[in-house]
Formats: sequence, structure tokens, C-alpha cells
Amino acid sequence: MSRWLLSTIPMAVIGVLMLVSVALNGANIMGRYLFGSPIFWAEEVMVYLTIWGVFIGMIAVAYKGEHLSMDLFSAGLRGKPRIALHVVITAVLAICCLFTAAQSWTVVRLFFDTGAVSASSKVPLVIPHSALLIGFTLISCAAVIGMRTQLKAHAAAMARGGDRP
Amino acid sequence: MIATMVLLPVALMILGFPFFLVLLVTAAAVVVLFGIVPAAALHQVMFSSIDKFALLAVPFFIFAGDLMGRGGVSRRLIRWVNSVVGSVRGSLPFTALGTTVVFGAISGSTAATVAAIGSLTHDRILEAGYPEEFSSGLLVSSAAMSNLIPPSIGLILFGISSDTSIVRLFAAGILPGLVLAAFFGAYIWWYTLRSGLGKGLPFSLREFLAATRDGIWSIAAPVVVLGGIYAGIFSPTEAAGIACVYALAVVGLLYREIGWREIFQSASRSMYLTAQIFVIVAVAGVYGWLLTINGVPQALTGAITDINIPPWAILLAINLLMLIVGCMLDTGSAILVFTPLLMPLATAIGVDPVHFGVIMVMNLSIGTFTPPFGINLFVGQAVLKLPLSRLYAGIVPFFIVAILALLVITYIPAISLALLRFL
Repeated sequence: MSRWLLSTIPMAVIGVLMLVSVALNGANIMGRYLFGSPIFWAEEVMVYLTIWGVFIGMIAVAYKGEHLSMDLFSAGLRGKPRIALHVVITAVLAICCLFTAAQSWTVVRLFFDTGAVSASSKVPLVIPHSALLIGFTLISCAAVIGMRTQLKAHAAAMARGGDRP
Repeated sequence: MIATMVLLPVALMILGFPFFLVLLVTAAAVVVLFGIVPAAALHQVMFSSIDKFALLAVPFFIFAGDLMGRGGVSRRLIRWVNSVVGSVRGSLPFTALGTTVVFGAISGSTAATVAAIGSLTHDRILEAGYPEEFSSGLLVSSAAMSNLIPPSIGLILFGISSDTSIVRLFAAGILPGLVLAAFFGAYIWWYTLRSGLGKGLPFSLREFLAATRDGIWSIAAPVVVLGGIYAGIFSPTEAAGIACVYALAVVGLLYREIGWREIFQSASRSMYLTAQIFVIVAVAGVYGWLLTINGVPQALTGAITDINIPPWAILLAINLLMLIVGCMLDTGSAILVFTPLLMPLATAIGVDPVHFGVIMVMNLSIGTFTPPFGINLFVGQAVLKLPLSRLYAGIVPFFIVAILALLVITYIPAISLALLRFL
């Protein structure tokens, strides 16, 4: 269930966002160069779609633990020290992302209160800015749930006498 | 505070924290502990760092490259390049090298290039009698050219990070990419002469025409992708969008080697990779901003220029630093963190920003095939099914050759800047 919610669905959503962006870009270019009539709001909307894509994609990245990192030190750890480091990193990630989400909440609430809209597409700015608020909140949840799942899988592997992590 | 901004990220990075978290923790620590800016600025600067139309070129080029790599384009390119160079000694390694150059002009990702070209040429090179180390070393290291030859994700990120024209950076990357290819080519030539391997077959016009007919849409891809940019018609982002549409048409409608399901998976994969990169772009924006408002780049520049080190020595030191950084960090992260720090220094010693971008990206490109974290090594390990130790042995001569090319490109700025006059 957690895998479906935090990996399968985000992957499907970001695939759709990518294809919609490509279609919008193609339509905008055709409109501009073939018909002399570009879609004036397209660029802004594409950027917002990508921002949402980034933070939804990051939910799956956090769940799978596939962040870009330098694991020279951690790769050399085995057993409990490795698990402890994994737990510490996940805890710091969750706290930091929640702290950032709290800052995002201040900004999103401000945009909500003022009703500010973007320059070209007149999209309420609360929409693109919410990507960070929702994204960072769910990244922290996904990281914790993903770690729990990985630790369970590890414990099961140990019980079967499998590889030590 | 400066110590917090330098020592904390280094410590966290060594411990294996995700790179975006390293920067986020550092930025949050500076904001909370020193209170020089309101904490809500974290959100604002992060958002504005990725609220840029020019950045959209990255996911679009990744998607186009991924689609073309999986949809039969690379196989046709290999056949076509082989029909051109098949008569020369060492034709198979030259085919791999030539295809890498052409594929690099479609895809901006070195990892995608190793996967696309390596999987199709490695066995054929081995069958021709070349040692495993030579073949793997060639495939893993020559893919680094994709980072220099436009469209290049590294050059786009440098352009965004340093406020330099991406079109000029793209034009500047062409000749250095070809110089690197020429250096690799010279090594292949020397190796085949010394070993007596790889005698070519006579040139066949019939095969050339057949390969051209079969691969015309693949061969035309770089022209479609880059022609509009250099002709001044399209912005890099628009060209990237056109590359996607072109790739969808060629792969989905003409070749039909992959179905719509795979195309959708490719779109998901491309945005997933974009997410991994752009979250670093967002957080690096905050880190760079904190560095700037605290005057760190200016202080660094002042300290180094005050001790009167000659520019060539500073460039050499930057090269060494970037080579080491490239061995440890992925290209995107390294560019995003080090560009704000080093760019003022490079400008102060009279290095053209475009030339500096090429130097930086080339250094980090070499890092893509050097231990311990060269991404090409890991992709090569998976695609070529070789242990890392064999790959390490294979890259040594190519690393030396790449360093020679790097020195030439660093100290002869005309190689990078020559094509700019045509823009």
C-alpha cells in the first residue's frame, strides 16, 4: 500500500506532467512559428508543471532512498552502524523537510491571503508555491515510511539468513 | 558562520547524507543560528531558483535522449558511423567513438550514452579481438564527451548558475568536445597500430547508402535539435521541446521499436531524474545566495588575487580542485555549488565566463568516469557486466589522454571561443 501511494502513483503523475509539458511546449512552438500566435501563458505553466513534477518526483525518490549522495563512508559500514546512520540521516531529512515546509506554509498563506496571481497565466501563486509545502511535507513522510519498509525487508532477510547490509 | 557554511556540508557529505540535504541542513543552520535572514526566505529563494524557463531544457533533453537511446536510434547511428569509418584501422573502436560524438549531440547525459552505445558495441569490439579493458575503458570514458558536446545538461546548469548565455555555452562546447574526441581517436589509432588489431574492411558505397537510408531520421536528429538554436530561431528550451516531439515521432511512429507504455515510462524516468537534480538546484540556490550575501566568493577572490599567483597557476589549481570534486560529486551538484564560488575568481583573472564554463564542465566530465563515484563506471558495470576493478584498469590510458586534452582546452581559450563569433 505504501509503495503504491508513495512510489507508483507519484511516478505515474510525473510521467503525465512530463508529457503534458512536452505537448504544451510543442503547441506553443507551433503556434509561435507556424501560426504567429504563441500560447502566451504556456511558458509559465510549463515551469509550474515542472516544479510540481520535481516535488512529486522527490516523494518517490525519498521513499526509495535514491537521493544523489556521496556514500564513500557509509558504503564501508555494515550491520548496526549502517542502520544507525540510515536512521540518523532519515531523521535529519524528516526534521529539515518539515522545518522547510513550515517556512513554505508562511509564504503560501501569504499568497492565499493576498490572492496574488502570476503575470502571464494568471494562475493563483498559491498553486505553484504549494508544491514546496506539500512536497517537503510528503518527502519527510515518504523518507520515514521508506526507511521503515527497508528495515523490515532487511530484518526479514536477516531472519532468512540472507546478506548482511 | 563561514565555518558552518564550509565545514558542516563537508562533514555531512562525508557521512553520506543526500546532497540536497547537505545543503538544506547547512542553509537551515545558518538561518536558525545566525538569524541574518528571515527563515521564510528559504522557501522564496528555493522557489525562485527553479522558477526559470531556461531550466526546462534539462528535463526535455533528458527525455529526448532517453527515448532515442531506447527506441532504435543508437543502433542505426552505429550502423551508419560504421559504414563511414569501417575501412580505417580500428574501425570498431572508431565506430563507438564516432557514434558517441553523434549521440552526444542528441543526449546531454553521459550515463545514457554509456548505456545506449556500450550495450550495442562492447561485444562486437571484443569479438574483433580487443581486450576487455580497452573496450570498456573506451566506452565508459568517451561518453564523457556528451557533457561537452551540446546539448549538455552541465552547460545548461552552468549557464543558469552563472547567468551566462546557454546558446554561447553550447557553441563553445562543440570544438572542445571534438578536441577530446580527437585525442581519444589518436590513442585508438596508436593502440591499434601497436597491437596490430582491427584492420578495416574496404569501403562499401552500397552499405553506406543503405545505412544512411535506414538511419536518416537518427542522423538528422542533431541537426534538428541544434540547428534551430545556432540559427538563432529557437531558444535552448524550445529546441529541447522540439527534440522531444521529434524523438516521439521517430521512435513512436516511424521505428516503433518501443510501445507507448515504454514511452510513458521514459517520461516518468526523465522527470524522476529531473527531480533528483532540480531539488539540488533549488537548495543550492539558497546556499549560493547565503554565500553571496556573506561575501564569501568576493573574500575568496580577494585573498587569492592579493597573493599575486599567476592566472595559469590559478587555472591549474581550479582544474585540480574540479577534478577531485568531479571524482566525488555528480556534475550537476558540483556545478551548482562551485560556480558561485569560483566564477568571480575566474573573471578577476581575466578568464572568459564561457571558457570557464567549458573548463569546469570538462573537468567534471572527466569525473564521470573516474573512481570512486564516476556515474559512467556504475552504468558501465551494469551494461557491460564487468567488475569495477576491470573498468578501473581500462580507464587509465583514457584518463591520461583526457587530462592532456583538458590542458590544451584550458590554456588555449580560442578552442572554446572560436565559434562564438558566428553567433
